Amino acid sequence: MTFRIITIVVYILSSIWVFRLVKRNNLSIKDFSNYFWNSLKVSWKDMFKLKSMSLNDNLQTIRSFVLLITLLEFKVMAITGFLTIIFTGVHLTGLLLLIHVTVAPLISISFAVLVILYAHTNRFDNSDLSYIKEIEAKRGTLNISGQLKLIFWSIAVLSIPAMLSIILGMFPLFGTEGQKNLLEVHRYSVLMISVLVIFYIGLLSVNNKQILNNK
Amino acid sequence: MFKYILIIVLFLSTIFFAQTDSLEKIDTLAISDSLSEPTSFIKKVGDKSDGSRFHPVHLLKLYDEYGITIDPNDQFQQPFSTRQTCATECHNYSIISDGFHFNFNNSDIENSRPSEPWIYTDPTTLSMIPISYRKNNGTFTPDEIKLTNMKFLDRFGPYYPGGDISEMDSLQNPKNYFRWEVSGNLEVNCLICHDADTYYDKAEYAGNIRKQNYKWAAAASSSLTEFKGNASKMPDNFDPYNLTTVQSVDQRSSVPPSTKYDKSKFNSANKVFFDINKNISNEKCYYCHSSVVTDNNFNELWKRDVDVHLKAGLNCVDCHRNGLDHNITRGIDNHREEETSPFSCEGCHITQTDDGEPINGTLGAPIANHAGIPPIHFERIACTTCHSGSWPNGEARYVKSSRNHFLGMHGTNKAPNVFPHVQSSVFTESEESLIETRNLVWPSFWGSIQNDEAIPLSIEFIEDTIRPLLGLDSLFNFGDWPTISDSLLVGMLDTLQNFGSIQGRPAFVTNGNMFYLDNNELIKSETDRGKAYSWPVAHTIRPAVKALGANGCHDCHSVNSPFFNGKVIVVSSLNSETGETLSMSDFENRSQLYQSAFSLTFFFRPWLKVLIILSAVIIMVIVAGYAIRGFREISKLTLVSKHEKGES
Repeated sequence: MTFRIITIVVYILSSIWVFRLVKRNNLSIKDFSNYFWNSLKVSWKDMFKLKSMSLNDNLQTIRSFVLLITLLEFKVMAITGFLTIIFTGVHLTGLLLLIHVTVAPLISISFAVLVILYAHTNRFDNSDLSYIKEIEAKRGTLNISGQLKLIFWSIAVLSIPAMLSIILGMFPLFGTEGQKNLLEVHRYSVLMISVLVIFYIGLLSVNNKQILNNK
Repeated sequence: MFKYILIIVLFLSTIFFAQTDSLEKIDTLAISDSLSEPTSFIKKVGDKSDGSRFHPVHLLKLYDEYGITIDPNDQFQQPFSTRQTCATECHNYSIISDGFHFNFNNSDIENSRPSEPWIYTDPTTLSMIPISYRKNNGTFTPDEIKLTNMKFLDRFGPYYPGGDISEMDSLQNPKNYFRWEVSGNLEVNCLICHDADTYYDKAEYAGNIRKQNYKWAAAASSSLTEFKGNASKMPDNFDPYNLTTVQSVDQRSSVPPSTKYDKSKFNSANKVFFDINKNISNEKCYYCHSSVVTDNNFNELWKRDVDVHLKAGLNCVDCHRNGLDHNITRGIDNHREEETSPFSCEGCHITQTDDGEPINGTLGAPIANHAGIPPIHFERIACTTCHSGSWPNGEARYVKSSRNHFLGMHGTNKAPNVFPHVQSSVFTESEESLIETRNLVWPSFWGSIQNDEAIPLSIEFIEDTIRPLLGLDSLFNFGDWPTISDSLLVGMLDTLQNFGSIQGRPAFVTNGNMFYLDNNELIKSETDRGKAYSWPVAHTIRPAVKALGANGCHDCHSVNSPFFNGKVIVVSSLNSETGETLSMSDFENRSQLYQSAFSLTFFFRPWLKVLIILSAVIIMVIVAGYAIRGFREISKLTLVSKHEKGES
């Protein structure tokens, strides 16, 4: 019951944040979702043109494709995982469980690949460090690029308990209490990941718009 | 003058001491918590413990049903009455006789949990009717099939411990008034559970109930008497004090009931010793509560396992406890949840505390670990699903129980497929939406359609009218359940339509459907009253290493696992309807297709584990690698910064 309430509250607050972000940056909710689907379509088409592109472009295409595929899988996982909790308050079951369990290994692989592909790009550099110093001096906030990096690494760190908590429960290592605790770890870590993913997509859309405007 | 004063003083003091004595007597005999309590709730000397664990010796005078002391030298010796002997001074009969074993007819008792029915079985009339006085959903009350209490006792009495329907005049059918006068009342038989004397013969008790020797049954089965007689053969005007009333009876085959006490058992004060035991032995319970799955070993007791609790040294009554009210705890959550929860599976085996005080681990019960089993299992299935009943194989097997197959009685048919055919273990969704292990029986009966529902016809009508019309073989009470052809059924229903005594359209209910005639055409439609009746099985409990899941998830989650795909035979009395089976999923209220699909995921589960662990390790390595690199950079920068500051 507690988790259900927390989930609902967290999702409401996240939605409000997204709504405000979109409004502040003159984006519409439609743009926001179109951006995701259009990017997926573009990168899917680009995947068939890999041979004709340069190595750098290839890498970029693969990265975008993996990112979008992972996001798509995450969407499926979030819907199947949270839908029953939000609406019925009971454990995941039935067809939704079947989908959740089937997509689970796919998302774990694609997320691992995603981390490999994006880790270097998302490393903090001197510019981020100067921002951190500014934050320390209460003079400013981290820029969007820095925020995206921070979210990326947070998701990467949280994905470890999210994955291990559910997989360790499948081994005869933990008793009923341990299993319940593992499930709680899985639920809360995944809830935090899902909020961070919402933030990530929101900031990514704004960032891309800013880049396009600058061009 | 002094003489008169002395006489008056003596007279008054006599009255005073007499009153004091009677006051003490009341204090000793009636220990009431409150003077305002009605007499039925007054606790007597044996009803309230003083805290001592010592068990008092029961050296008692015997009383007959009228409260008259029994003398073994009497010419006409009457059977002792448990109501009078046990209750006159020591125990409150009215409280005890409202206990769980004796309150069938009490409609105030909440009974949401289905329990084992009495199954009226008559292959000659194709009748298999689960009966319960407790109005369990799916059963029929004796009233519905017009089964009088005396008829009920004739059939099921051998396993009836007395009281309630066999004792209350208000519940007796006036039609049987004279028979009740002959048989007497079947009082609560305290000895059937509490007499530890190995001579106490339950089979003798059962035989006497069959002969309507109700008031003699308790005494006749004890070691105190030698009894002979058959009240059912006595005329309605039978009087045990007047042998002229039995002149018409052929006494070569049926003698009047007569009791002869063993004088050596009486002491000089006319008292006899009862070896009364509060800690009831398991064998006492087994007389009425035995059940056996008819697998290959069913006649070989030495090959069968016993309940793990009993093997650990526990008795049935260690969990199924009761107070004076004899309301036995059943190990389930019910209206007495607060009191009974420590004696349920969870109460003993799952960590629970009451204000910091552990309530689990009663009698040294091990705490269940259930390592590797996702908690959702405990929300969806009962403890008994994995730990009790027979290990599921391809299909449900027949199970025989004391009360419905007359186990433990003289002359019982020992065949594995004796009627009624009760199937076990059937995994069924309970009223609380938990899958639990159950026994199951398919009702089959003749009825009439009223308000779109089939109402069973009276047993008397079925036995007197339908039985001769059907003309089925009555020699066998085992084998395949008899069936009739559609044409015979049409003929029967057609004939029954002409009976004016039947209200509504005649129907026959079997295999979950009701069959009736509409314009001489046989119509089949589903009916709730024909659905299989099932009740939970709590024993025999298997230990963790023999529970479902001990071999891994695939015990249940494999494509062909009997847990979801096991077959349950749909027993039908119609030849054209036999051979149908249902799967366990149908009773579990789960989709068989989904369960098979879900089971398929277990085929890939080892890969899933490897892939997810591998992914987690990769992410861990990358995160750790960049974190170490980051820390190194930060410390390098900090050192540079400090160095620059030092220089300046």
